[in-house]
Amino acid sequence: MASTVPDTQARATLAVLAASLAPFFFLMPPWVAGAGLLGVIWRYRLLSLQRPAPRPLGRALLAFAALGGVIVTFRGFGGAAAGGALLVLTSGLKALESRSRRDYHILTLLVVFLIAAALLLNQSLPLAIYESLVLWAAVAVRLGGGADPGRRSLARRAATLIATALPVAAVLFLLFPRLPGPLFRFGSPRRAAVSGLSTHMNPGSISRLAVSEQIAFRVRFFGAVPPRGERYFRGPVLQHYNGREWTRGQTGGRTTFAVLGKPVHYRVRERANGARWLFLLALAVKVDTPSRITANFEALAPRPLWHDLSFTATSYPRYRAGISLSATRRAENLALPRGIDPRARALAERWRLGSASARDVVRKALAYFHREPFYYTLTPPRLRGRNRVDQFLFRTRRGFCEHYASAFAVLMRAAGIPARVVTGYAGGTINPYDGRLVVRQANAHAWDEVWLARRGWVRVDPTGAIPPSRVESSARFAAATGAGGETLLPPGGFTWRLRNIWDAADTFWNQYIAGYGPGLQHHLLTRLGLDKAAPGVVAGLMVAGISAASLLVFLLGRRRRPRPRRDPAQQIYRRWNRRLARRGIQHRASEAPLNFLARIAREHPRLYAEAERVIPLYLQARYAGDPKALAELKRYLDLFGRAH
Amino acid sequence: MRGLGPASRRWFDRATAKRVVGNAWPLRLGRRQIFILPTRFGLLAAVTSGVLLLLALNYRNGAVFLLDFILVALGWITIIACHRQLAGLELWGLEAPSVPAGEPLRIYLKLTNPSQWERFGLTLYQGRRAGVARRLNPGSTARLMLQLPPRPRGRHLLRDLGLKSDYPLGIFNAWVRIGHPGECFVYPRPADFAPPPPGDAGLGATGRQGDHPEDFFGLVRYRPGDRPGQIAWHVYARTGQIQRKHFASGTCMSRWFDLAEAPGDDMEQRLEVLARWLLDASRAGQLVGLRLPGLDLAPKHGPAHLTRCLRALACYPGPYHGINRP
Repeated sequence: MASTVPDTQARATLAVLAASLAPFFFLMPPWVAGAGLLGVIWRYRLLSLQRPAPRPLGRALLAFAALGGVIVTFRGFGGAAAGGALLVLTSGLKALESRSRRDYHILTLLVVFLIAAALLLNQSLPLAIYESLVLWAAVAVRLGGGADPGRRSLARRAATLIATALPVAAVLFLLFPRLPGPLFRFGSPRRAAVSGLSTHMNPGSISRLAVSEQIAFRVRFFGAVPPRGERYFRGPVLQHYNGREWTRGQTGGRTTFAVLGKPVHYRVRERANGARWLFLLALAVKVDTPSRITANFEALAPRPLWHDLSFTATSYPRYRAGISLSATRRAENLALPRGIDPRARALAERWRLGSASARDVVRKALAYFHREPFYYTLTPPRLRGRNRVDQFLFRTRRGFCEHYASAFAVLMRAAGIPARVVTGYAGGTINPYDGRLVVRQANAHAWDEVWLARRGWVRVDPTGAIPPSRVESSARFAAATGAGGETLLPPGGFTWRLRNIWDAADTFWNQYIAGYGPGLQHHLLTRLGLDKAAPGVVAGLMVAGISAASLLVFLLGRRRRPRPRRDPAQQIYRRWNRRLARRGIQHRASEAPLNFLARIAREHPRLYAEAERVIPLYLQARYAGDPKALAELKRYLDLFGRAH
Repeated sequence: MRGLGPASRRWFDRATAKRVVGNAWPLRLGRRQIFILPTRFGLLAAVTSGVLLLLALNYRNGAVFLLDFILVALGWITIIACHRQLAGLELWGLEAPSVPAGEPLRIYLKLTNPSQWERFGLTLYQGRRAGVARRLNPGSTARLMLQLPPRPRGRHLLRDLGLKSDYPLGIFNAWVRIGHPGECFVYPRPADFAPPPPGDAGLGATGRQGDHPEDFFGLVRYRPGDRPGQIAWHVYARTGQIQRKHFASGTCMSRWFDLAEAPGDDMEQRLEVLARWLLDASRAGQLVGLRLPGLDLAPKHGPAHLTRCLRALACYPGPYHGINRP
């Protein structure tokens, strides 16, 4: 049936299609979305001009051009991004040739596919909010169906319809079985560049993160939140220094540890970062996700995190780790490139000679950073050539946590104390709205661990030795070291509150909706006591839930509108009638007020005086709409009520 | 229903023959008479949501899961919503004005919404032909119109009429079948050029001459041959339509029109001429009577009588059923 579509409907559908194409400007090479949108705009323009679509030959050429573009840009059709690009271009082409009702049906379905494709490429909360608005608009346009009863009414009806669908959707969402792995592979969705810590550290590798407000991970503590000084989440441990940068070096081998004190249980939700690090508090003994813990107590996931990952972990803030250090490991953590940084070595040597213990040397080094004019800054002067630590310690004296961590480790090694650099995140902010600790990229940090006899590896944070007066980027310093303020924004302000609410919403979205997988579902079923139930029971529950939700909708739909309120004068009059009925005279339904008055005079003269007052007032209030008469009536009957 | 082939359609009609609404107007649409099935678009949407589910499962994407389940839930809720568009409506009757041959048939269904909620997308249909969808506010009444292609002269029963709605999303279609056939008379197309009716032969003697023999009676469409002096030039200046002032002599002039007197090569032509005479005379305010072999309709006034005459022409030479119906 080649019935055509009214122009208003066609325009509205095209507008929704354009809205669903817009996010692709940010999700893939912009030419793709541009080309798709061009098709839609072209069609819109043709509608306005009342001109037909381009001829089939022209459309075929455009289709080939689009295919060629995709092959060149994505090197084939594999992968979600290429699939998304094809979908975007198809939508543009389909829009261009759309004429009949069926074409517009297909455009509506393409809108749905485009929403899904955008969410596949990026399931962040902002995009989800945007796409739900697009869905709303798409539903409203379909409700219109050609007739135009006003956009407002359509929007309201669409919102109602979606709202009634949500309970059923929620039941399906929670109970539909989730599978742990992919069903088939189209190639993994390509990720945009993600920021995070890398496995080597040179000046600038952490400071580039310093300005990023992106969230690295969130932590929910089961129990008290550890004090700031203990919130060091360990990432890569760097043991090998070549004079310019630190790298991980050898990571094999075994180590020993003993835990003291009480454990901390917590749940981490780590954002996709394309790396394998699991950021845990020292010293993590248990992680409930597949992972490997190295001899340096780094935790690694088996695969890079292309999706957000949640896991629960247990750590002991008090511990003894690596008390028996093997000779090779010891040598590794004392190694320095030959012949560089002579002044630093000399300084360390002096400290070593003048100290009774390794602990004393550490103390002297920290005092040195505290005493000498070292500055903490995000824009340190560049260090060049050999002897970079010397340059930093004796000339520039301005640096960032990585400068301090690096210089400190070099000094310790020069003084004969095994030392290594640990990178990770420190500090973080508690969101008062959901109690979670939010750790941002700006919280990226580098610190040291020194090995002390009978204590094992001990954390030392030389950046913390810089007195606040010499901090140039104080907010950032606070974020990284835990000294002072809680966050980069002044707490309590409007923006601060807004950001916290947003963070809480974002966390909820990421954890419970975007991240709702087999694990969380199992958790839910366990809570419901259904973890060991047969699949049939869960299916039954699902059916029951859907039925209940539908019944609710059905009953709500049957609900009558509230009756219009009775006239207040009439209400008072009726009440008075009931009162009279108790006193012997019944108002008849057929009786007009004045007839009633006449009858009262005849049959109950005792009540006449009262009725003579009430009935004219009532007539005045009810039929002349006189507010004074109404007030008078109320007052009179109140008095009357009390008197009797 | 559109997705069904003719054979399955027939089967479906037989199977649901009992679920046809009503015997007597007004008909109240009960739950058990309303059918609901997905439309073709609905099936396509179901496939779409299946594909989305696969994508969501494969990429373990919670947002796409949510999107898909919202779509599925929308589809599910739509069944209830769509059913509610028809349930409880009151149908007050089918009406099909007589039309001349060659003009499209129009069928009207009068219906009332006695409930508290608005109805949308109400459409009168027959088979694959559907009228314009309408909305109906609570407590209000409307006439739905269905236009059908022209039919030959005669009395036509329009069976398989139904009322449907695919609101809200067009993925489900709810419909009821109306048991009553619509009845429509197609009378002969009035001849464009007809000789004037045979002069005084049919003029009744009952006519009382009016005080003003040439009263202005109204405007009629101009036909070639009308005297220029009779053309209502001021109307032409105003509306651009050429109309002729019509003067009737008296109000009680009555006329008999007999098929035997109508000229023409064949029966159809003669009927067409007769239709023209009837219409013109009636428009001129005369009392018209119709004489067909075996049928005499005495001269009377008014549209109901004209309709009766035209219906008689429509049915000729067959029996005329609806003679006493309005």
